[in-house]
Amino acid sequence: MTAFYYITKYLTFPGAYARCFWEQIVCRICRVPVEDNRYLRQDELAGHIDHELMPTARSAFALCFVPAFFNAIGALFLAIFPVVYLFVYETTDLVFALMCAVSYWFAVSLYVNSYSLVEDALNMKEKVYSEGNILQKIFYSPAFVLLYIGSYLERYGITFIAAVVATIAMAVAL
Amino acid sequence: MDELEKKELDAEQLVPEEAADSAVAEADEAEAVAEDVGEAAEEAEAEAAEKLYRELEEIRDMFQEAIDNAEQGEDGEAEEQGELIQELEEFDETQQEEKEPLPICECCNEKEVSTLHGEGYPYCEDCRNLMKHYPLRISGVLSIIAMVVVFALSAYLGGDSLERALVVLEARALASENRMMSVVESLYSYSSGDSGDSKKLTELLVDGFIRTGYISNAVEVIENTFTQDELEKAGNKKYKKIVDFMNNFTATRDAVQGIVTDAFSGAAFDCDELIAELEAEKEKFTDEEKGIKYNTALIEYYKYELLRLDGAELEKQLEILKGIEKEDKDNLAQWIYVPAICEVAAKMGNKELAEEYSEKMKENNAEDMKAYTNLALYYRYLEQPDADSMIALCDEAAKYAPTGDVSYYPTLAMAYLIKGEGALAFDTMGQYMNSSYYTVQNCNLYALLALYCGNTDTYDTMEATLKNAGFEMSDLVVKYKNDKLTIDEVIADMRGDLG
Repeated sequence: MTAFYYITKYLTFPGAYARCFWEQIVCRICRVPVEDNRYLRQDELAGHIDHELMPTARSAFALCFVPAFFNAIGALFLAIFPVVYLFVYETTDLVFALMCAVSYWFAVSLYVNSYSLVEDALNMKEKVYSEGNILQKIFYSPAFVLLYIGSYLERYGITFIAAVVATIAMAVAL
Repeated sequence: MDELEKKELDAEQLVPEEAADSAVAEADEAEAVAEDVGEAAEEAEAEAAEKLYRELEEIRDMFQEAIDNAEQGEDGEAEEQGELIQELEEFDETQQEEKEPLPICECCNEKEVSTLHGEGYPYCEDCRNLMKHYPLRISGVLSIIAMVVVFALSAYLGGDSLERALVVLEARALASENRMMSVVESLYSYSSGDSGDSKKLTELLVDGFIRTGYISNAVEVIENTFTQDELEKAGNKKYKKIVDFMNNFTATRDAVQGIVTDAFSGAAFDCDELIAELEAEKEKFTDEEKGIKYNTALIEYYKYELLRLDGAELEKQLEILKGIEKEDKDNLAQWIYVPAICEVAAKMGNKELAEEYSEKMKENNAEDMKAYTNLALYYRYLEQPDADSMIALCDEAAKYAPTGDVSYYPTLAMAYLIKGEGALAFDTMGQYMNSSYYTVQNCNLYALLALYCGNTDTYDTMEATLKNAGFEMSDLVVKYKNDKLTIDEVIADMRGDLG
């Protein structure tokens, strides 16, 4: 399963690069040392940077949420043109179709690499539940559930399938 | 004594305090001894003094030696301590010389690497804490820039066809609800071949025309969009089939129309004879070299129409229509036979079959009013007509009716008439007549309703209209006018066409 995981990471390397980039930015802002910033490698850290555990609830939340947010928003925007013009409009303009295909690949790449590592999600939960007050717990809990489930899906490469299904759903919805 | 005292003082000055005290004590003792000797032997005073002097000298030497030894002892300790410090320093230096210097930080190239993160850690603590050691990778930045560029280019290239894309989106949504008449209306402005680069737009437009029965319009779109060579390509096979169907249909119509024109205009005819003529005509216009074959659907439909006009059994009519369905493998002739089967089944009282074909019509085009009005015939043809079910069907039709389509109004007017709401029926029929083409049947119904409501002017207008078109008012309506039939008897008898 790990092999499938990092194969999906290699197939969707633009999204993996973007994800790592956001993670590194967050680490910098939170001043958390990075241990290894290789973006792609053949282990479970593919598509993530190796960093020390986030020290606070906020930084742990930021590490999980900020890259997920930017990747998901980016995926949504990049998916608009391919979905409309490839799957709905069915353009016959070859250049435009090619551009849409690349855009679609980028969108899938970003979506596949939206979620954090399971360890980071668990760290977020641990920090929030040990440090946060009741309001913070309420605020963070839906995000945690979403990120935690997403992290598990990503661990087994299921986000790749989910991205394709989401695209079809989007095309059907339109 | 002075000398002794002097020596004693010298000793006191020279020796350390403890040694000096001891020496003084010993000197006092020696002095006492010397006093005793002087008292005992004055003669040998000089000799004794000399002896004493020597003894004292010895004592002095002894004390001096003791003092020297004491002094030498202090110097030795200090020397020993100094040696130890020196040895330690030498050890440190040796250690320092033996241990290699730590490498310089790979990041800043200034400080030594940190040893707190295991052996071989290549960065200093400062670089680590400020994260200078892992600068942001250019690949991450580039991937994001590439995505932004692709998005911008897509927006630029797609901008021109944005309007068409929005229309296609709307039409696609309508098509998903089988609202094919609305699809055709929304895309109609592109039917002159202005579908641009959208394959879907052409597909929706052609499909819309086919499913609403406007085959010639569909062919027009295809011919405006594709060249003959493009039509021959494998991807455009379905369009080629449509064009071929239409060519055969037109050829068949041109060939056989003359046979049925008189019969369809109301002239008396021999049904069997005309059907035989239709069969014979098949072979005449079939030209396999040109790829033209007779259109089974149209020939059979003409047969059905002749049988219907001749008042043949409904089962026989249904059999002909089912035959068309069997032959129509590409579903291009559904618009011909599906409404007819629904109508015949409804008149036969076969609700299941009527509903089945009503559903087929809705699947083809939910805005096909015949899907509702033909099924309503079932309720109208019951022994006791069910006006409420007819009205319910008309209400459903109203939900899907495209703007301005009131083709279900005659059915609704009939339902109101059955219910005894004559004024409402007349008003409904009036609205229909104001916005639709007149037919013999509808003119008769409107005239009947006018009589029912006492509006003789409208009756006269309808009578004149029919006369001008070469038709006469229905016997049922005339009998009702002449009070030979009641309205209930007319309703009971007029299940068939009033015309």
